Amino acid sequence: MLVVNEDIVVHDSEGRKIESQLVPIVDAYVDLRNYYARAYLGSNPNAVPNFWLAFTVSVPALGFSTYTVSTSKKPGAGSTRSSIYKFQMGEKPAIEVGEGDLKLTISAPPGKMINYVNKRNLVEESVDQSFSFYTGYNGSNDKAPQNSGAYIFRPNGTYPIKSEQASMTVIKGPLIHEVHQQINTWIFQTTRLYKEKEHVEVEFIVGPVPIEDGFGKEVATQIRTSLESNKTFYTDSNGRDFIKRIRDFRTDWDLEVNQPVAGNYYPITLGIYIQDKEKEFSVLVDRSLAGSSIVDGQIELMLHRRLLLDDSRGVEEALNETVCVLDDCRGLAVQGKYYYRIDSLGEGAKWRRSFGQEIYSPLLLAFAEEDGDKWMSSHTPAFSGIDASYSLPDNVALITLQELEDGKVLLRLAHLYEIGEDSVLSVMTRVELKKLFPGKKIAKVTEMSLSANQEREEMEKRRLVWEVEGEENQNPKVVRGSQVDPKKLEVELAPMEIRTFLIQFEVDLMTAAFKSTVDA
Amino acid sequence: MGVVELIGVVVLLGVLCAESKYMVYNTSAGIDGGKINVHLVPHTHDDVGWLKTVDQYYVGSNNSIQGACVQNVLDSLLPALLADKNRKFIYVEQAFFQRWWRDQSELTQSIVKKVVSSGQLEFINGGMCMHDEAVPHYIDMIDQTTLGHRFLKEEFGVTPRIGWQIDPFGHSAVQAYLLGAEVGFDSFFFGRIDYQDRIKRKKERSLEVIWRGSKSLGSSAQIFAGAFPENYEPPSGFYFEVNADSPVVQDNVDLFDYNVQDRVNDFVAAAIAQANITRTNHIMWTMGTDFKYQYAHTWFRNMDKLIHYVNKDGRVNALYSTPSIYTDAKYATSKSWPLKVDDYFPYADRANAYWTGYYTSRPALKFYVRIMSGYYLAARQLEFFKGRRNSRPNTDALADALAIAQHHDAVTGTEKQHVANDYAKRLSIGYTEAEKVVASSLACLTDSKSSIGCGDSTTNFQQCPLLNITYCPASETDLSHGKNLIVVIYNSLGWKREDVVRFPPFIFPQLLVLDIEVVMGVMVRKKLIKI
Repeated sequence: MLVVNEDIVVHDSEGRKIESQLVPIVDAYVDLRNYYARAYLGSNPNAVPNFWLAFTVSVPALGFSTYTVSTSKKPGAGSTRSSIYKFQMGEKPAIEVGEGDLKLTISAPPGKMINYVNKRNLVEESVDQSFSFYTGYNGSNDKAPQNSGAYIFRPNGTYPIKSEQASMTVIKGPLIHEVHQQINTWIFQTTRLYKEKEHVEVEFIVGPVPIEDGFGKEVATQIRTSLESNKTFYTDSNGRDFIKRIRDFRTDWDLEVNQPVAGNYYPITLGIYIQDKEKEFSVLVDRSLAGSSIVDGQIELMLHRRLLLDDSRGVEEALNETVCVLDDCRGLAVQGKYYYRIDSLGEGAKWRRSFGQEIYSPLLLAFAEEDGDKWMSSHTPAFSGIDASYSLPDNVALITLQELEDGKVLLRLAHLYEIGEDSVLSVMTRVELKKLFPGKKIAKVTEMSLSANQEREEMEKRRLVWEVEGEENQNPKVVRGSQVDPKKLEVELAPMEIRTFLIQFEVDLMTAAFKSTVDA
Repeated sequence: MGVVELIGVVVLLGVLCAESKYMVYNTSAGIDGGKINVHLVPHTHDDVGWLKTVDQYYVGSNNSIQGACVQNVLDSLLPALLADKNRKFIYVEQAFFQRWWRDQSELTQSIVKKVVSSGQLEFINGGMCMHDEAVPHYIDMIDQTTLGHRFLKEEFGVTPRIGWQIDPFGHSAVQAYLLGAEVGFDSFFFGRIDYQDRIKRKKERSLEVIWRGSKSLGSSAQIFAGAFPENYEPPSGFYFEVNADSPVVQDNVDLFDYNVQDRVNDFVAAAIAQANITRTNHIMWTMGTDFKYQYAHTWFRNMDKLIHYVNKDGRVNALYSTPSIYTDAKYATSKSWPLKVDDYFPYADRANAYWTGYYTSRPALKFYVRIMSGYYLAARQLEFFKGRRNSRPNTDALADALAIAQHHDAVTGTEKQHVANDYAKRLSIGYTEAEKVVASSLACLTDSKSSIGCGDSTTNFQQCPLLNITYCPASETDLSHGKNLIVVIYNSLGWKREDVVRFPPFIFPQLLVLDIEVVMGVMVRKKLIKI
């Protein structure tokens, strides 16, 4: 047996070799690949790559960077291979992972207990993460039948999922550390830490959820901390404002509790957090999921549902998602990620908002093959659509940049923070439009309603002024960004404000001529 | 029977018919300040996919699942409106309306424009679909609303005034302040709030409130918000679809079963019951429900008669109305209203029936929608940098697919499986086209030789939509013969960004295996080795 001397090497736009890591692709992922890729190809994909290649990139605002991946025969010149450790139950009391400031110390298999330490801000917390499932209620024989189904969550008991596996695999390299846990035959979990990041990424594969026992199952994960959250948690509204929730309580009426779990579930589009006098614990999601805090200090996410009965709201089908690839039918497996982080009280908003943007807008990868090393010299390796010296303020996101059919540009800017959400960023902020459109001359900026079908001014003029009981003739004053000065072209945004503009540019005749040729 | 006798019968019939004369109904009632005003709001609720796909609902196929055909609704509506200028109708779901509009002749289109400008046909809500409010991302809600609203502005010069979220399963703060007040809506109506909340609000007459959804924007983004007393259907006994079992108004004295007084009494009783739980003397009746008005005439015929006889009776005032007319009437009363903050989640329609399962149902479809949403945002940026083409490929198909996927039986996971597949198929088709836009824009932008236009860029960029299943043919490429893999990485955020990317490269598959090395009986180390 010989060790391979050929290595993978990654270079950046300027030709510098950058650090990269090879992370093994483990069986759980190979199985997913083989099964689901067959659905697209009609046959198994040829061979299975053994590794993920991972490297750190730096990409300008609204722009791209280029990296080249090649092979090298120089020994030791290329990617660092991950070290792989397999831990058996009882062999070692705990293992530490994390190459950067964030360290997790994970107890011996099954590895439920985690000590979380951030060495930068000295936040420390013990975390206990587990899975459970609810069995779907079967109301077929009740007077008023109500099953758990596509709409309705009606659990009939909760069952902890104990890890059946006696081992745990740890993967370490310069950029990424991973802990792999095969929780049972149908749940696989990767806990992942990045050297430069201060959050924990948890990737789960759940499914096919077994139904051979005749019970539908709704699979949840619980992350427990010691935070004294006093029944209170916060969930986002459609990825925007966070709303305070109190367990078994409604602000508008005296709640009669008949479903202590289902009645405390809320939609999670961006994230959920809890806090106490010292810390806050935030979880962000990669898609909408149900979530709650069923006991103090804990956050629960519902990850997958496979049910066998209809819930009588018209759909007349059980939510029993089944995939068939050729003749091989299986319950749908779901792979996803959530992310968590623990901060000192008042410090969590910045991560929830800025990392939330990164989850919504993952980096977009495009690949091309090239013979030889000419690419960087013959192409533009890096680009930014906005002025190279500019970037949006930390509290602003560009949520629409779109050329319309008439050549005007639709632009929406969103302030990302609520009043009082962050001690620094919950303030009026400014965006310089000229810097957003380098090389173009703005002829006219028209502020529009949110759906861009009328001028904002017109809309405000005909807005009905309703009165609220108890505050007649004294609608409280709210500060908003002022009108855009056509010379300065600066947009002010108050906390949570979204402003919509139609922008006309001075017509560049060359471009116009070219466009008409292309369109013709 | 002989021929003579037969003639006699025909003559007799002719005499009888001549006696029952053509009836003109007075449907012109407006608001009467001194009475309970019953605003009859004729509407249809057309799900942009649920038990059938959006196209099946439009054309009326697959009727064994559900007898529903939106074409019938819109086709029969126009003559019904033309028959009496007092009749009104609201239409909501632009995904259907646009399908129908494209099918109409210029003549029909010009007639539709007339009934729109006269106010007989009013577009409300006006997004492509009636989006869900729990699981969509706010950017998707904005995009799908914009798509519908801009079409209405361009074709008809109208801006919808009313939010109409009558079916979604609970209601969000963002819907109230952002997709309501910030869109310029004057009010917002919905059907589903928690059963316990509803009981209390009826008692306190607080179904209608001023809703301030945002703590930060407060009263500057508040909206008049009305929850219906029961649902978005007519009061019991006032359903007039062709096959409905409510008693029709039978006012022909020459025929049996004349029932005008009974029907008027039913109407007045239902009106008073609702007025008892409503502030002001204006109440709204939502005259329609799912996929109704397939033969619009049956509804209007009965409503014409009800308005005529109820107003003749005089105890209450009945009128053809729209939510806009209703809102203006409420506003004109100069009352002040209870304040509502936060939202209406979670929703339960009775004990042990919390609609919180759908927050997770079909998590894979939910992820697909979300990842496509982020991609659409990035693709539009790149489309702008290169210069948009109105010819294909462009990002319009993805916009359309994403818009429909926000429907309250789409991303919610509450549709039949074949319909879920249809949403995913549309997203996939839309993605495939947007992927071409992204690839050609990147080819253009990386091509440094051309300063203007990108006609000659030749780079064929490949992307990896299946990276989540570890499948990426574009990166799994053989680099053994001096080839390089070029990876262009685009960041759609307005900040510089450091991040770790990962994808599977593919080198010497036949030569690489994993070797397992046991160290001290504890660790198992794997090495890359060559056989």
